[in-house]
Amino acid sequence: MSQQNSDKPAPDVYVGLMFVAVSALILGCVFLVLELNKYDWAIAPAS
Amino acid sequence: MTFMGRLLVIVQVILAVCFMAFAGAVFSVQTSWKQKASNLEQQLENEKTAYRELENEFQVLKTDTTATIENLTNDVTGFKGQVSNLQTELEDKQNKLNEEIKASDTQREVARIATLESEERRKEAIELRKQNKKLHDQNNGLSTIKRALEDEIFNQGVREKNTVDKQGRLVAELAKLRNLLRQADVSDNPSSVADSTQPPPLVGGRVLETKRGLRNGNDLVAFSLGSDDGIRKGHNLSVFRTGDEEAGRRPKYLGEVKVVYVTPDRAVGEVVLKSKNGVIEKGDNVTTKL
Repeated sequence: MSQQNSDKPAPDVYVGLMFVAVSALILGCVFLVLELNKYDWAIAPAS
Repeated sequence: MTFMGRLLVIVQVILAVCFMAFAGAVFSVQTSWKQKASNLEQQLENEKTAYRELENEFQVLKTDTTATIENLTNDVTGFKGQVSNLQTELEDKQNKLNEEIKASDTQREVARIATLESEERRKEAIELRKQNKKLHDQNNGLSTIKRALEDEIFNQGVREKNTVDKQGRLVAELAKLRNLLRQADVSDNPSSVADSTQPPPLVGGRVLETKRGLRNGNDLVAFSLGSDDGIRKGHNLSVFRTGDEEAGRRPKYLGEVKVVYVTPDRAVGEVVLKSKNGVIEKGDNVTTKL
């Protein structure tokens, strides 16, 4: 285990990119939620 | 990490960033169609409300208009009746007006004729006035002449009276003279005196017959002149004989005779003067011209 810990790879730029991608997805989801909130979550128009 | 892992991370990052960008763009820029639909529904509701109000107003107006039209129709019917009455009245008025115009024309014509008549009467009066003046002048002239004639009549009366007096005196004197003539055995016939005193007219005739007088008597000559020719007893006539140049005879004066007897177509004269040129014979000429 300790060896595994010692072998623990150091975070590199790609990890940072992964965080950036997660943050972007979260913001995109927030924006879509807010947009749907405008329509009261009605996907199809009321007939 | 493998190359494929790295590549997938990079692609995931790119796609995540794109997703975030599109979502942000949609949230920030995209129009809210629901809000717009709500606004449009609200606007539609307002429009419907306005439409209903307008429809109500239209109904009210329609009702009012219908009532107005009915009233107007009634009014039109009444007006048509009034128009008909007015037309009838207008025709009556027109007929009366025509009659009045005819009467006016007639009166105007009568007035014109009266004017002409008055003008003619005025001219006639002027003419009569002129004639009256002329007659007055003639009357004055005639009065003057009348006065002159009256004066002359008076003078004539005076002269007549004087003449009558003179005639009385002359008659008395004539009676005296007749007595004297009767006592002197002289004829008092004026015609015989006048015949012997008046000269004979200028006439000529022919010797019809001659007769030698007895002793101490004058020759008698009958000729073709009588009392119809103006010959009277006592007239002296000349006797002559005309000449004849072819036969070599010259005109001759034969003498003078005095008429002692007269008939209407012949007379007898006594030769009172004999010429030495010849003897009076039948056919010689007798004349009073010489």
